[in-house]
Amino acid sequence: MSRLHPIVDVAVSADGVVGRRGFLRGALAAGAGAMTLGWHDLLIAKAAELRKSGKSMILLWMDGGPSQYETFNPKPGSKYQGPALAINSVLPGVQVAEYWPRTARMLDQIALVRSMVSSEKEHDRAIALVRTGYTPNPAVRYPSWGSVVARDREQFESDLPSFVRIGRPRITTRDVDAGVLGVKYNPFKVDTAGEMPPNVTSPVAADVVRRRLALSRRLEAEFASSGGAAAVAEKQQVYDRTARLVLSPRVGAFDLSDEPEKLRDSYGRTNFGQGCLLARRLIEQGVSFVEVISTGSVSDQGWDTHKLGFDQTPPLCEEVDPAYSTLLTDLADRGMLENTLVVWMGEFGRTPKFKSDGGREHYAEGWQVGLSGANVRGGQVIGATDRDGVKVTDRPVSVQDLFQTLCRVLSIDPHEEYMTADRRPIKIVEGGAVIDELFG
Amino acid sequence: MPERAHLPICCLLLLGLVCAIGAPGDAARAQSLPASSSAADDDPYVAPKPQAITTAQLDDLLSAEAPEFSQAPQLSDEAFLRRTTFDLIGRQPTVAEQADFAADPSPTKRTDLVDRLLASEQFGRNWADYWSDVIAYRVPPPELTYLDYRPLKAWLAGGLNSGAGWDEMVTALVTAKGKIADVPAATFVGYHQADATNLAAETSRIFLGQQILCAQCHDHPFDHWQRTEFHALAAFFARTKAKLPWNVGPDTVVSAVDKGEHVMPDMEDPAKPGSKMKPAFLLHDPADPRIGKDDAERRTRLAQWVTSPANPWFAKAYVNRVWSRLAGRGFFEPVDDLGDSQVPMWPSVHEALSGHFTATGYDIKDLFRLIMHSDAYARGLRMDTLEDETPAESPQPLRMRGDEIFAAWTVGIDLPNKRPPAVEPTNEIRFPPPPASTRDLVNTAFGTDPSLSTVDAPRTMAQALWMMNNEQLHAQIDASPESDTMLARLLNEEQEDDAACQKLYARVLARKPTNAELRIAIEHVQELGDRRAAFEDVLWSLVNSAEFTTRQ
Repeated sequence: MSRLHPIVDVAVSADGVVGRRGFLRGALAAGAGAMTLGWHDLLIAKAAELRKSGKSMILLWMDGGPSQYETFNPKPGSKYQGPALAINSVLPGVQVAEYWPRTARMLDQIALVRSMVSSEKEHDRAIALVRTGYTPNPAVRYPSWGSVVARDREQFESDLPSFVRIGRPRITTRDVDAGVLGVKYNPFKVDTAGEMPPNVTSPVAADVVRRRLALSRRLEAEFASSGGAAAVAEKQQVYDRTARLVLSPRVGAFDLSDEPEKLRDSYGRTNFGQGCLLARRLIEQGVSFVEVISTGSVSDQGWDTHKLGFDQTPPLCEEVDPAYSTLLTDLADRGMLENTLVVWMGEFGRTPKFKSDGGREHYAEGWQVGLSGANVRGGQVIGATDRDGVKVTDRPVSVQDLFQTLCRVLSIDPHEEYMTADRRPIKIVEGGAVIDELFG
Repeated sequence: MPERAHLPICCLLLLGLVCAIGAPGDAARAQSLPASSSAADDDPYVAPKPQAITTAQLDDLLSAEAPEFSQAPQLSDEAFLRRTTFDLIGRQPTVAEQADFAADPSPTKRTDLVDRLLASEQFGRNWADYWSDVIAYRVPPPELTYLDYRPLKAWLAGGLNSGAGWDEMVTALVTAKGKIADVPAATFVGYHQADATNLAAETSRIFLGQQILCAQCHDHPFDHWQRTEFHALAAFFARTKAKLPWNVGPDTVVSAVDKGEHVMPDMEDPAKPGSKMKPAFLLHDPADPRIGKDDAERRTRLAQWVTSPANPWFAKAYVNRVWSRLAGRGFFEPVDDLGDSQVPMWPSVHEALSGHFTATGYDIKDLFRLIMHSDAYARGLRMDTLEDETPAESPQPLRMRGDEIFAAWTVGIDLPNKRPPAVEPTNEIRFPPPPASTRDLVNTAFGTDPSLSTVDAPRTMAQALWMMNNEQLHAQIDASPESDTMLARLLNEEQEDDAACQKLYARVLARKPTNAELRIAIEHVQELGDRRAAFEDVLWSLVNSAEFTTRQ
C-alpha cells in the first residue's frame, strides 16, 4: 500500500495556484518560503490528530433550491401550502410533506434546521455562498467546502481521491471548484453512478500497465538528462499518483454491481439513489468528502421549480426520499454513521407565494438543512418559521454558523488560514458560531 | 471549453498596504501620450522608436544581452525542423517532411523552411488557436449560452494568413458590430456581453499588457493606475450592447444604444449614484470633448489609440507574446503584465523588436521571419532554461497548448477527431450541452490559459488519465493487423526491430532515438518475446512521455 500520497489532482508547485504575479514572487520570495514551510509542517503535525477524528462527510445537494412546503416544513392550513399534504414523522408533533414517507420514519436520525437565513437569492451567488461559506467576491475564488476538506486531509495516504462528486450540476457555470487552493483539490467527478468516469479504467491488464510504466520511466531518463529533468520529474509525480488510482483494487468501489439487488432497489434506481449508494461505498474506502447532486430526471429545471411546481416537485422528492433514508439506515447498519456527517441542503428555499401552476420563486429566509451522524444529535428540530412560512420566528441560523458547525464536526479549526499563491491568508471560516444545540 | 476566468487576487492583499502608504505619485508621469521619440529606452510611457532592423542587428543585440547563445552550437537540422514546425504551425513535422528537409542540399534551407511554413494555411490556423485561447480563457461563461470559438478562429486564421496587420485585426475585434456568426470579430465584445468593465480590463491586458483591473475598485498599488483612469477607459464601451441567445453562442449580436453613460460606483457608499464617466485614454489623457456619444465613434477612437504607433505598449505587448512562444519565455512574465513595476529581461531586444514591428505597420509574418531567420534562433535560443528567478521553483520548460497536443497526436498516431451528433433542445431539456469532439476533450484536459506562466498551469491527473487510458487514443496504439493502425502497418512493413523503432521515434517525437533509447527499446522487444505487444509498449511510452507534451 502506498504511503503519504493522497490522490487528488496534482501539481509540482506547492500551491498549485494560478494567477500569481511575478512582482509579488520577487518582492516576497524570502518571506514566502518561510511561511510555506511553517504551514506545511503544521499540517504534517496535525495529520495524526485529524486522522483520529476520522470523520467524513456526505453532502446531498438539492440543486436549484428545494421548496420548504413540499419537503420538511409544510404549513397545513396556510394559503401558501398548495396541494401537498403533511404527514406525521417519528418525532411527536413534527410533520413533513407527504412525498417523504420514508424519511419521515428516519427523522430520529436527523437534526432539522428550519431557520436558515442568508442574503443571497440568485443561484450563482447563493451557490457560491452556501458551498464556500463566503459571500462571493469577484477578486477571490473561494474554495468549495469539499476542497477545503480534501486539503485538510491531505496528509492521509489513499489511492482513491479525497473529494468525489457524483452527478452533474444543472448549470456548470454556477459551479464552485477548488478556487485559490488550486486544481489539485478539485473534485474527482463521476457523472453517472455505477459507471467509471472516462479514462479511469485501463484498457489493458494491470501487469501491462506496470510494464509500460517501467519502460517509459527508463526511456524517459534520456530526455531528463538532456534538459528535460524538471518536466520529467513533474510528470513522474503526476503519473505515480494516477497509476496508484488506476491500479488500485479499491477502484472497485465505483462499481455497484456487487451490491445486493434489494439494497440497490431500496436506494432507488435513479442516478441520485445509486449515487448515495456509491457515496457510502466510497466513504467506506476512506474517501473524506462525497457530494451527490440531485437534479431529478424530469427536466433540467431540477429543484429550481419556477414552472409546474406542483407537478415537478413530487417526483424530485420521490427520488430523494428513498435514497436519503436508505443512506442513513445503511450507514447506521454498518456502524459508519457515527463517523459520517450527512448533510441535506440546497442553495436556498422557495417563496411562500406560488403561481397557478405551483411554481415558486427563490427565497432565502427559512430554508432548511438536515444533519445526521458524526455525533450530531438527531431527532430534533432547530428554529422555526411563522404559520405561513414567511418569516423566521425562532433561532435564525446563518451560513457562517453552519460552516462553523461543519468545522466542529470534522475537527477542522475554523481559524486556520490557508495561503493563496499571493500569500494572502484566508480563514477557513470567517464569522458565525457553532450551532450548539446539535451536540447537546 | 475554457475554465472559469482567474482574477488577480493581488488587489485585496495590497489594498491595505496602499491605503497605508498612499499610491505612488504620478509626478514623473507624462500627462498625455508623447509623440514617439528616441528618448530614454527605459521610460515605460514612451513608445518604442519605429525603426526597422535587420536580422543581423537583432543578432548583435542578442549577443550583447546573452552571449551564451552566440557561442552555442547550431541546432541540428532535425531539431531545427522540429522546433520551427511547432513554433509556426503547432505540430511536429511529418516523416515525409523530415525526409525532405534532411535531403535538401540548399544552404538556405532553414530560412526557406521558415518562409514556406509562414506561407502555409496552417500558420494562421495555429496562431488563431493561440489568440482565441488568449481571449476565451478570461471570458466569464454565460449561464445559458454555449460559447463556440470556431467562427473567431476561422476569422483570425484568415487575417493572419492574408497578412492583415495586427492593428487592423485588433481594431476589428474592438469595434465589431453584428451577429458573431456573420461578423466573427464581434466575439470579443459579444462573449464579454459588452460588459464595459470587463472589456476595459481585457482590452488593456490582452492588447497592451497593462493590468488595470485592480483599479476598478482602488488605485493600483504598484502600477500607478487610478480608478478614474480605469472607468474612463470603460466609458468607451458605455453604449455597446450584446444580446446572448439561449444555447447557440455565435447567434450573439453586438449592437449599440444611443444613451447611457458608464458610472464609476462610489466605493465609500455604494448606495450613492456614483460618477458618470467621460471616455478618456489611460495615462490621464484629459477627456477629449470631441469624443462623441456614438458607440461606433467611441470604439473606433479607442481602437485608434490602442493601435497607434504612439501607444507605448501596443507593439510591445504583441512582441512579448510571440517571443514567449518562440523563446520559451517572454521578456515580461507573465506575458500579459508589462506594468512598470515589472523588470523585463533583455529590454533592448524587446524595444528593438517592438520598434521594428511598429515600423513595418505591425506586419505579423515579418516579425516571425525576423526572429526565426536569426542566428540565435538557429542556435536554439531558449530563455526559459536560462534563468532561475526564484530558487524555490525549478524552471519549467514551456508546455504545448491543448490544440498542439491534439495536432501532435494526429500526426503521430492518426488520432481521429470524432464529434457525436448534436442534441436538439426540448421543453424539458432546454440546454443540452453541445457535443464534445475528440479535440474538445483534449482541450478540456490539456488546454491552459496561454497568459499563465508554466508554473501556474501544473500537469494534472486528468491529463495523465487521458494519456494512459483514453479509448480512442488506445485504439491507435493497437498493433494487431486488423486494427490497421499506423503501428500495425509500420510493423508489417518493417521487419527489422531497429528500423521500426527509428520510424516510431520519427513519427511521434520527430527525432531519432538515442543509442541508449534504442538499446532499451530493443531489449524490451527481445525480453518480452511478443513483438506486437512490445512495440505497443514502446509507442505507449512515447505518447506518455514528458517530452511529447513539452515544447523544445
